[in-house]
This record gives sequence, structure tokens and C-alpha cells, in this order.
Amino acid sequence: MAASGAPAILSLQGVAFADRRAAPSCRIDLELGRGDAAVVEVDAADTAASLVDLCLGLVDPPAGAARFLDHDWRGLSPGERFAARSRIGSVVQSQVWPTHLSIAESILAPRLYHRDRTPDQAAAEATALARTFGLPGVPAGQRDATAAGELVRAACVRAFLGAPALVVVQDPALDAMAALGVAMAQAVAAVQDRGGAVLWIIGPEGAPAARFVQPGQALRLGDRGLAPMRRSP
Amino acid sequence: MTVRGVHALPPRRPLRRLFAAVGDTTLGGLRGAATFAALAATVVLAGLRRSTWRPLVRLELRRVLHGVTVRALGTTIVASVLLGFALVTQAAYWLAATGQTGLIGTIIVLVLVREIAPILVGLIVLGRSGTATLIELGEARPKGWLRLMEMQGLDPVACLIMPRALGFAVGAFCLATILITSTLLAGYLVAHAIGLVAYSLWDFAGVVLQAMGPRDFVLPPLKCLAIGFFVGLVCCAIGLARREEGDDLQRVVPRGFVRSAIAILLVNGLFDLAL
Repeated sequence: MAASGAPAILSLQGVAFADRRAAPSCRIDLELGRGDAAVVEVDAADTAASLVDLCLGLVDPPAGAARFLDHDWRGLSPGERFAARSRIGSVVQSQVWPTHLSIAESILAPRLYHRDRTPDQAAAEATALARTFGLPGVPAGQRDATAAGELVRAACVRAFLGAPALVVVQDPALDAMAALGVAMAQAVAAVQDRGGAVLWIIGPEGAPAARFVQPGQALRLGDRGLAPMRRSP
Repeated sequence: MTVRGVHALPPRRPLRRLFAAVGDTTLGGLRGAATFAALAATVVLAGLRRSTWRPLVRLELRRVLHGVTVRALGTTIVASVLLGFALVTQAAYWLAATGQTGLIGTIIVLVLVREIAPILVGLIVLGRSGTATLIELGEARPKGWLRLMEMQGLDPVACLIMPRALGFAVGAFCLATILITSTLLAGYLVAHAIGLVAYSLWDFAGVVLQAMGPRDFVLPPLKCLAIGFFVGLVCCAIGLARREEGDDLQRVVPRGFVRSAIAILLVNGLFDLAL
């Protein structure tokens, strides 16, 4: 819940999906304030990806408004959208990495592009985060030379690097890694303590890694939009 | 409407279809050209803005320049030795046979500096780095890492296209300088070794330099820059235009190669008009 007076970090108001798989009448209302965390269960991977796209302003909703830090994505120019996304971390498609960069370069790339950290600061912060997620350091190799489990951990480092205001998690590979649950819970708590927000989108098969997180909102996306969900312990 | 009138319509349809097909193709071509021109203008304008040159973009430019220039150095030197043997030696031989040795500088400037070097360098850049770019960026959208970059707020124009287009341009200029210098050197050494020229290397260089007018110091370098820029841009545009894995890479790469080759010849022709 947003603190009084402070704008919500993420606000979806009457947002409709553009994809055909979601029910046409499905409208979403979701508000994540400072220090909030929400877990949203979604049936289909396509719908989960569409929800991520809406939250990050990658697509404009056909109806309703998606706002990040009180800015409607629709009103932002492409350059402003890129700048706004510098404040969002995402654990999405953890097995997908640019082929022309090493894992370490990919992790540091947003910080070097948005100039919110010096290269040394970013490298030091990434190394500390990598240790939090059970890596000896930031993986220096290319994607093909890195184990799948390490890629998931590296994706977590990439998402939480740079003190993001919002972290969006939607990755079945991470969901299945119960061993990362404690580290994720600590990272999510750190974001919340800093006044950020976390949105974790999980599939119907559940997410062992998300069980350690104590969300303020547990929701399920159905044909009639988001509904409160009772989480199994 | 009479029955005859109704029957009179069908013969016009094939003609209309022909016009429609020609119109569609023309409009499609114009749209593609306009989009490409807009992309070129965007890249140039982005390159002129100081704020674009962030650490990541500079790193990427350095990486591209290394790939285009340093990795193609061996190929360029081998090509220049072969070219020097064929071009300079042949020019020296036939001019000596016709008693026109005084024209060797002019011939070299006309053929090597203005024509062969920019085109050959364009083809080297295209073959070595352009095809790699086509494959690399051709996988960006289908494999999902272009979406990932956008999620991280990384502008693909600044992070992918601009460093490649400018890296290819500067790389082509550097390679052309190396190609011309080593072609002249190799040609002179071979011609001197087999007794076709009797003067020193410095005299030979002086003959070539004297044959060059002021425009030869400006337009051929600009031509190399433009060729490299457009090869890079075409490869980026065609690679990133591949939307799904169904569009086979084996078709994307030849398409990019042919269009880049056309761009090389087109830029060469336009500069020849100015020269």
C-alpha cells in the first residue's frame, strides 16, 4: 500500500491486455507503494510476459493507465522510457543474455549506460550481490560457457544491481530454485527497506523460491482481473 | 448496367492487378528507403550528441573497432600484397611498354585510391564483420535479448546500431589507409625487384602524391567512411528486422550481404560523380 502523499511506485488502473489469450474483459488494478511486495499468480506464460511488458512500459495497454513513479508510460517519450527503466530491475528470461557481451559485461551494462555508478562502484556492488546469491563473483564467461544455475543467480544480480525502485520477477527457472529462496527474500527485503517495491509473477505450479518472501499482497490473475489469493505456507 | 457492361469488366482486372502489384512494390520500396534514411539520420544525430557517448557506448565502439580493424588486418594486408603485385606491377609494366611511365602516379590514384581501395575495403568489412553482425543481431529479437535490453533501459540505437555503424565507418577508413599504403609498398617492391622501376621508394611515393589533387585527400577518405557506415547500418537494419526464428538466418545473411554490396556500389557511384 502506498504511503500517504507519496506516489505509488507502480500503479495499474483498469489496465487491459493487448494479447488475445487473456480474457477480453480482464482489467487489472494493482498499486505497489513504497516498501510493498506482491506475488501474482498467472496461468499462462504469455499472460505473465504481457503483464511484465505493461509494468515496464514496453507496450501500452489498450485501455487503462500504467504508471511508474507517478508517470504514465504512455506520456513518456522513448528516451524518457529508457531512463525510467533504469530504475527497474527485472529477473525475466534468466537464460537469455546478449551474445556479444560476457555475463559480467551484461550485468554492468545498464549501470554504465545510465551512468548512475562508476565502473568500479558497479563492479564492487555486483560482486557483493553475486556473493549474496551464492556465486564466488560475477561470472566472467559468455552465456554458453556458464551453467544454467549460475545464469539464474547472475540474472538476480543484474536485477538488484543499482538500487532499483521496482523489481519485477517473472522467471520459471528462478521459481523452481528453492535454494535461492533465502537470498531472494533478503534481496526483496532490502528493496522494501529502501522504499522500493517488488512484483513477483509466478506460474500456477507455484514457486518454491518465492515461499520465503512475505508479500503484502498475494493475488491471482483470473478472467475477472486480480483477486486476492491465499498462499500455501 | 447492361449484361455487356458486366462482362466488359473482367479483362481490366489483370491490368489493375498488375498496376496494384507495381504500386505495392514501389510503395514498399519507398517506405523501406524512407525508414532506412530515418534510421541513418537518427544514428548520425545520436552520434553528434555528447550525451549519447556514455561509458557503455564507448566500450561497445571500442569492441566493434577492434573487430572491424584489428581482426581484419591480416586479410587486408594479404589482399594489398596481391593487389600490389597485380595492379602496380601491371601498371608499371604496361606503361613502360608504351613509354608512358610518367602516368604511373595518375593511374594509381585513379584506379587504386579512388576506386579499388574503397570498394575492396567495403567488401572486406562486409565479409568479415558485416556477416557476423547480421548473425549476431539477427538473433537479438528471436532469442529475446533485444527485449531484455529494452527492459534494462538500454536504447538499441545507442547501444547496438550507432557503435556498429560508426565503428564500421572508422574501421573502413583505417583499413583503406593500410590497404593503399601496403599495396603501394608491395607493388613497388615487386616492380623494383623484377626491374620494372628504377627509382627509389621515396621518388615513387612522390610521384603518387604529386598525382593527387586536393580532392583526392578529401573525397576518397569520405567515401571509405560512408561505405563503412552504410555497410554497418544495412547489416544492423536487416539483422534487427528479423523478428522470429521462422525467418531463417540462412536467408537473412545473403539478403544483408547483397544489400550491403549494393550500398557499397551505390555510395561509390555517388562519390564518383563528385570526383
